[in-house]
Amino acid sequence: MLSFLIYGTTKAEVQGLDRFPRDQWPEPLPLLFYSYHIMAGLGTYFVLLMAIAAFLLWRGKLFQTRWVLWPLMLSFPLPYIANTAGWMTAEIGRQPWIIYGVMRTSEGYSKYVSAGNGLFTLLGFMGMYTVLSILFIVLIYRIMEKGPLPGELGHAGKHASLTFA
Amino acid sequence: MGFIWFWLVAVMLVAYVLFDGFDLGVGILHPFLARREEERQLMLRAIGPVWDGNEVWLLASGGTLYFAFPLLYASAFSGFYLALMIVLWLLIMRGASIELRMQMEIGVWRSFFDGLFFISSALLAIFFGAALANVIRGVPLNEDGYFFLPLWTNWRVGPEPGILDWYSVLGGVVAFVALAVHGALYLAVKTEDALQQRARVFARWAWGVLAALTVISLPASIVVRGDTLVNYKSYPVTFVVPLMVVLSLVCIFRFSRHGGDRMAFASSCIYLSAVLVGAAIGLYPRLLPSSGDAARDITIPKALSGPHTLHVGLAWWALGMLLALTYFVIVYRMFRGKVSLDSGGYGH
Repeated sequence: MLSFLIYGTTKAEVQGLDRFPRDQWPEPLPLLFYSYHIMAGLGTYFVLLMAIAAFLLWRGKLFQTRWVLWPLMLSFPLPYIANTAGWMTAEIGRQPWIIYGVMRTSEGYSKYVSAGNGLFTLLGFMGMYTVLSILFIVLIYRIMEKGPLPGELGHAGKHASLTFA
Repeated sequence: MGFIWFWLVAVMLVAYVLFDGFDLGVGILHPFLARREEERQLMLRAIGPVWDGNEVWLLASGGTLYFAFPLLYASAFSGFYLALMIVLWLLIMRGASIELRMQMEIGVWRSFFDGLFFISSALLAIFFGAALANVIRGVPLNEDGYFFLPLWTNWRVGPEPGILDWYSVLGGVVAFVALAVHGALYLAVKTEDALQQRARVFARWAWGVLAALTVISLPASIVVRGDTLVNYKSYPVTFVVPLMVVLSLVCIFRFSRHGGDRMAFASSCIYLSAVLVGAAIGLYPRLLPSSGDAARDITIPKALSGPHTLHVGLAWWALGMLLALTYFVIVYRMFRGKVSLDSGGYGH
């Protein structure tokens, strides 16, 4: 099954990590393992949740089905987590290669940019993104609080105003 | 191929300066030309639908640099590391200040983002001018083509320059004034009544400063880099470019005096293009000169990618440029005419 997903044929052999030389393993391994599984698990959860919601929407019953509406609303932060976990998988998993099989990360960095510069800009970006994320959450919350404007939802609008009241 | 790609990158950089130049100019003038909230909104609406697309040209030229001249990309972007990161942060803050400004009604929210908009636009103009000056002046390249410049050393242009010295600060000031004038002329096209009048008055006043700075910058460039005029003397036809600089400056003055706003803005576009093309002609075939030993210059042959890459890239570049230009024509036509407060938001 796994060989089919990766290589497109069930005959190819998927090599386990123990087949690769030790100095080509990504570090840290547990972080990589869990971030990958968080991403895949959340992805599966999204697919299931959306399939159920789509089915109910098709039947016209979505806006009365509270046990689906609650998870739909509470899952709001989960895509961000899944997204970040996916990127962590990609970027940790690629180590120690920066170009797979050709160049290691330790050979590819800018030799003339000192560590202090790197740290300074890293902190700068972290600070900027923190501020922007907080602003984002605050603004999104205000928009969600206001709710949809009346008449904007089309034929489902009647049902929406019942449950959003 | 090297010749083609040198000029393709130059053209995209010129496009960036022409387009984002007036966005930065509007940002610089924002606290000064707008007296009331409505006028601030009008100024923002003049650039609202287009500023994001305009910034794309910077990414296009940077990306093309990565693709066509990888050694230059690697050397320049790590050598100018701090300045580049600061430019990145300023770009983020400029964009955030435009888009977040209207989102909340809390007391100092709008004033804060207006201030941020001005500071980031002003600093961006100065940094871009200083960057160009750095390229003209040259940097202390070592054997393998790399360097690292601190933000400033002794402000002198010697064997150990910093990113900021008197020449690059001059470059920054020239860019600041030129883009402020460019933005004012754009506003004169896009606005009406009092705001348009103030923009015109500013453009006429600042024109004098710009002309003086342009005149100063040429001998300054020759002092800093003695071989600036070599290409000009070998191909005398290129003297048409400095001629265009002077002519377009005169045109800016004459058109804005007689109310020909569109022609004045067009003249400003020609002025900026001529200045940049003139610098490129003076630079060719170097990409990043060395401030020390001339044998260490990063030249086109040294930095160029392989021929297969360049040929494939040219085809894709043409396709991408077609799409980009189509988009630009559509957007600018959609939002042509004067801005007003009627339609909601920034129109995008």
